[in-house]
Amino acid sequence: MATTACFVIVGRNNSPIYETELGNAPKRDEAMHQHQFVLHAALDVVEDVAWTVNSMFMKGVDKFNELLVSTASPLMICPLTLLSLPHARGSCCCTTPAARTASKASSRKCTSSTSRCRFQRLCRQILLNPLYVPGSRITSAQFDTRVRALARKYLL
Amino acid sequence: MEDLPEELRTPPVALAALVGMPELHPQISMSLHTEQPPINTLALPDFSKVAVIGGKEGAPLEARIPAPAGVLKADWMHKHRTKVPAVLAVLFDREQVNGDPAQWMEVCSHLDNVRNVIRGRNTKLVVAIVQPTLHGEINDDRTAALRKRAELDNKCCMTFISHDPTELKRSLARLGSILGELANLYYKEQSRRVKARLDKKNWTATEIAVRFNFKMGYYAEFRRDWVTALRFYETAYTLLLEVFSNPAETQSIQRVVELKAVAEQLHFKVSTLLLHSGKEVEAVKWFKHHIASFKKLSGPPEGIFMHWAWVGQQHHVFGDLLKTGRSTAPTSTAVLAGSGVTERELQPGFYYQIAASYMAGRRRTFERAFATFESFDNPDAVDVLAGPPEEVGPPLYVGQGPRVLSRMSEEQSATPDEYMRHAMLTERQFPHSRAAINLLTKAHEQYKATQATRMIYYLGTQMGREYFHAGEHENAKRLFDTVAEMYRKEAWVELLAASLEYLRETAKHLGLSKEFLEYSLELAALPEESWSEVARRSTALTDVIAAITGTDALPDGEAPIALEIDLVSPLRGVLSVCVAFHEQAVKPGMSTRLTVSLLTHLPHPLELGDLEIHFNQNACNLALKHSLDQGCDLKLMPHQWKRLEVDIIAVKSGKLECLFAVARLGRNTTVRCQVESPASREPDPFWQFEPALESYPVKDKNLAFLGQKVVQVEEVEPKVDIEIDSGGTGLLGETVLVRIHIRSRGHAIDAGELQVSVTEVASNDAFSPKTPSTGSSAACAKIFVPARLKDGSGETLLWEFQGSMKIPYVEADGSWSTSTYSLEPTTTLISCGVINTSTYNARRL
Repeated sequence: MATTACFVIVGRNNSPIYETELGNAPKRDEAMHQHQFVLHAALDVVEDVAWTVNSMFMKGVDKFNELLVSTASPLMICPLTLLSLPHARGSCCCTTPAARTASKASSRKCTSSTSRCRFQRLCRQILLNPLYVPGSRITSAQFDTRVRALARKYLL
Repeated sequence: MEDLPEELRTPPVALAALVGMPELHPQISMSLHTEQPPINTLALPDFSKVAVIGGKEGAPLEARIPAPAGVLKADWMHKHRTKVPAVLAVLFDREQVNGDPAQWMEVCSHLDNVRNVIRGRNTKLVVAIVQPTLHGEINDDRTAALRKRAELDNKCCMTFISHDPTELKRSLARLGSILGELANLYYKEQSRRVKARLDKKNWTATEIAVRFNFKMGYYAEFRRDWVTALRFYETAYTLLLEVFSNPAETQSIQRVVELKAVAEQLHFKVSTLLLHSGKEVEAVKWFKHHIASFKKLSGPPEGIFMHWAWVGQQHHVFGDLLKTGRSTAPTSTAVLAGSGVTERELQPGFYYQIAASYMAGRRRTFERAFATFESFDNPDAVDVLAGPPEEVGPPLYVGQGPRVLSRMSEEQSATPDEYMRHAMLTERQFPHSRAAINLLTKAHEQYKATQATRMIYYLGTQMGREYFHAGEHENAKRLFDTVAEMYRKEAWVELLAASLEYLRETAKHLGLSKEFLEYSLELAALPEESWSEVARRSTALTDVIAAITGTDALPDGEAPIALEIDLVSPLRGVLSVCVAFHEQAVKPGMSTRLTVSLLTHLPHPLELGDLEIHFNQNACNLALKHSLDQGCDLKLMPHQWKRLEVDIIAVKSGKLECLFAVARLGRNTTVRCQVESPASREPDPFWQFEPALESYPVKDKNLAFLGQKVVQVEEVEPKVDIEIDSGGTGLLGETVLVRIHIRSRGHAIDAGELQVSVTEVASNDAFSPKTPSTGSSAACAKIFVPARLKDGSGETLLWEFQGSMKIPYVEADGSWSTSTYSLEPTTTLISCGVINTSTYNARRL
């Protein structure tokens, strides 16, 4: 089955600081940017729900048709977002002290906590880098490669 | 939801028929309507019309049921709601019952006739003997005979009082109660009968089981037994999925459409019952199950647009159901937790929006299918299903196509080709975009209440696309302008780029050259996040360059275009101009160095034809022309500051400020760009964190942090100094000596006139400069000039000074002085002016 995923880290000003499209589903014209539109719209729900739950990870916090959004937030005052596909049984998230994470993923069987931890670790590594300017886009090729590898392993 | 038949949308109401005593029918009908539950009435004017409620004898239980031509009969629900009464009330006048044998025989005849008619349908019977008041005897023998003849219980043969209001009310209530009870009994028996036939298993087609369960569910709805109804509908739905599980069944487009129409009706019933019983989460789960079950059953590829139409319709209908059936109180988080249902899925707007998405998919797939259809279809072929009503009849079963009545009964169904042709030609008339816009508008109304701002902007994007496809470019542009603002603010580059692409196209269609250029340039100057984006933005820039260089005509031709970029303009990425004076203050006429820094984030080099720098002193304006020979290179490389240094000579004192720069692109396009100071420059939000960018507009770090676009131009050095010295403070009435010194600086004074005026000043502004005034000296003091008498005595007298004093020739850097006397000084200011010299200066007394 063709699957696709979108992994986005959203910064403090609700701006995306990292985006990547994962998966092997062919991108149709009508679906162009749909993932980003859905993730952006999901921030409304994330901002509301983050105040009402105790967990930092909110699986399936929003949905659009077959697209499932899940979110991870390091602080309750700064909620994060994550998203997954039909038949997804796992999801991942990234958490940073000053960032939001949005991801859309489809997965085989996987332990969501494992994948989440690995994504979190990756994000921490990049965001705690003293040379990283807060709010700037993450352009590290190594980070991108590792995110894709994790996504292939856990999400697709 | 309005597209669904009335009998499906509303719960069924029991039907009772009335015959005999037609003058009482309105009263009885009205009374039955107010019963709880209400009962609809079918009033038959006389006994001759009783036959209309008759029906054929039901098949015996053991009879084998052949494979049906469809699942659900199209008019079954309508028939049971309006034509097949559960109970028949026969009204006889007491006079007829008690009358002579002929009248009695007539009553018996009518009763027998009625019994014969209703026997086939098992309709219940009530006999009411109508008498005006309680007073009067009813022949008990006749009544007993009547009851026996009709095989009725005691309670089903009642007396109806028609003219005593109190008794009439009581009779109506009793009749209503009996009719309601018998109707319930009727529907229960009908349900049992169907169940018995189902249990006999004298059938092989699963469609029969679906139909029977549907009927039992509908009978349960007649009885207001919602739980039983829900159970039967769910069973019918499950059985229908078994029908679908046969792959051979899914090959025919007509069959697929029919089964999905049946599924729609069953799902509608289930969802309605769940929602009205307050089980919203279960309803949403059921809907998800419904969509998941049928999503893949799209049928043949040429008819896939019908599948998306069906999926969209399901979402639309469920949104309507949620809107009308959901309780106003929000579902608690505890209920949602662990249910797999999000709060968004409980909002009708969510389903309207998805229905609109499927509407767009329906349009796209139809356009592709229609292109193929047109290529291969016989142009002479006729749509046989689009004929007049006398040639084309309604379908017999739910979900089937119209019938061609001119054919034999077995061949009335259209062939697959005829069906597809009819579907294609019907779909061509369907306003997809308008329907999608209506759905999105409904979603917008729903989302407004939830303050889902970003979702509303997404809706705006979708509506804009549909307006674009519908050719309503003005509406599309209005919407995209709004949503682009949001994506600019939150710096979602991909989404902004998607909006800008539509804006470019709308501007092109509307003939708005300026807007076309603006959107294209903004799009081209966005950060590139993927190779596809790079390609698309390069295309945009190529279009722009072709347009401004004249190789490609702009929408409105050769009209000059003036673009404006201020400090908050979205075009700041296209051209940003920063200027910094190297000095903070300068003398008039002296040259000062100015650094002009230009930056573009366009993906390709941008060559400016010329560049004009404008100041608040027009005399300082300068123009630079791109010329490599003269060392003026105005070609801007992407993401690199182009720094130009020019000398500016201020001519007037005061503030000299650089206001804006005007760059010429191509033949008739200018960009007026407001300049910024390096010290106060706000970076472009899209580019401020981009790596490998030169962040400082000037290389000199001091200028980068402190450089200003303003320089102070000081006053010029005076060429003539006038000093007035009073020698001290005078008393009131005292004559004070005042010396006036005139000194020339740098050049000689050929001639001049000195005007001295005396003005009274207030103590607090005694040292503020004042313009000398000839008329204002009259009041406070008089000035005298010593002069010799002309009588030769050599005596000097003081003459009152009037008019101006002649100044002799003064050499360069030389001086001349004279003395005057002031009488009766108060607080005065003596000021002097030199007339007919080029400069003027005065020192206060």
